[in-house]
Amino acid sequence: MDRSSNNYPDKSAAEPEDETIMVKEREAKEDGRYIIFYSFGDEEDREN
Amino acid sequence: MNQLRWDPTLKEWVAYATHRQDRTFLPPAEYCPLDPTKPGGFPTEVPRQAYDIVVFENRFPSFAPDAPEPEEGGSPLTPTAPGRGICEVVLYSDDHYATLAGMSEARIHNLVEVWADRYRELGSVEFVEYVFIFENKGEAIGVTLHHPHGQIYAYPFIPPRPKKELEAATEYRSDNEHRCLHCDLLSQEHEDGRRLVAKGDHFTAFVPFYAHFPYEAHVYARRCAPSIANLSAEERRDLARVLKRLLVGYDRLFGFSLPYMMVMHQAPTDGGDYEGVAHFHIEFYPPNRTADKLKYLAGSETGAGAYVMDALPEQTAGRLREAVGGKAR
Repeated sequence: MDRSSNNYPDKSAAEPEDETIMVKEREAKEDGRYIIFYSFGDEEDREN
Repeated sequence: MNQLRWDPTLKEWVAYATHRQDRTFLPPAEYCPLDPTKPGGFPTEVPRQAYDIVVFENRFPSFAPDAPEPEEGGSPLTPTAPGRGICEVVLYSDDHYATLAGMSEARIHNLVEVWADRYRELGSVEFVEYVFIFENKGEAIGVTLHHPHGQIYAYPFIPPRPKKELEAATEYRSDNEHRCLHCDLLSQEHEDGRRLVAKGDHFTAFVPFYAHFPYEAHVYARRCAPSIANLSAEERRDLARVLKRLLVGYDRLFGFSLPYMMVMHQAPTDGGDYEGVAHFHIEFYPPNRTADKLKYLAGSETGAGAYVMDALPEQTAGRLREAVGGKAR
């Protein structure tokens, strides 16, 4: 499959444009599956 | 075993994943595999004591990235194919008893950022043609784990319902001077006003004129953005705002946490040009028609594909708008 003309996703439009700080940590589980931890820098964003 | 079998009568793939029969089914809260792993406790899917949002590969996937060629070869009429794809679980919170409706706008916004990131990453995988983000909530929908979570299926094909929608939008665009079908539907809803439920600065929630479930609601981007990854930062914040209002309204509607299916429709990631055809939106299908009665997909809906409804969208939208607690027009 030729994906060279794929304009989706539009990464330029997807870059964070505000103060949101998203930290992404990718790890491998024991059985080989991946797990990704997303955390957010703003304390207010951590409120639930 | 992950395999696809072609149904030539409906021209669609059916996925088989027999290992899913063994998946964890409604465990007690103290044995929830989606909770954080506590010191001295049993190891869950998440090897940390706390987390914000976590994404991991489903242990019982409907599709697998390394799915082999099926042993069952099929025939030219009914071919088979590897069930190749990626299935992820998205944990919204480490609080077992949380719901999306009960979360702060800020946390929902964080989730929107994660959804956009997953769309980008999974959509860039060579064999992934459609990134389908969804949530099944409530036992009435058939959930097997109560912990607040959604799922993502990265399909190796464009699934039938989004495909049909894209074909309709393509035809409409061709017949109507390159207009977007979804933009025109949204304009019609704004002009009419009777089915509007909530309006933000960049998103609108409404019960569609042709709702297939009594309290079905669609959340449309006002701008013709093909995908969640094309939304601006302010649009993503507004999406969180409108989702929060709608979800709170759903829970107020009958006085309990309303079950629903939530699905996202957006541009395929197959390399095609979907500008003006795909229009990012989220659809909610709650099964309840009243507090204690469900809308079943029975003979007409399942066998004929013809939905029969016993409430008009204008009536249900009015009730839902009241539950949301505001004037949406």
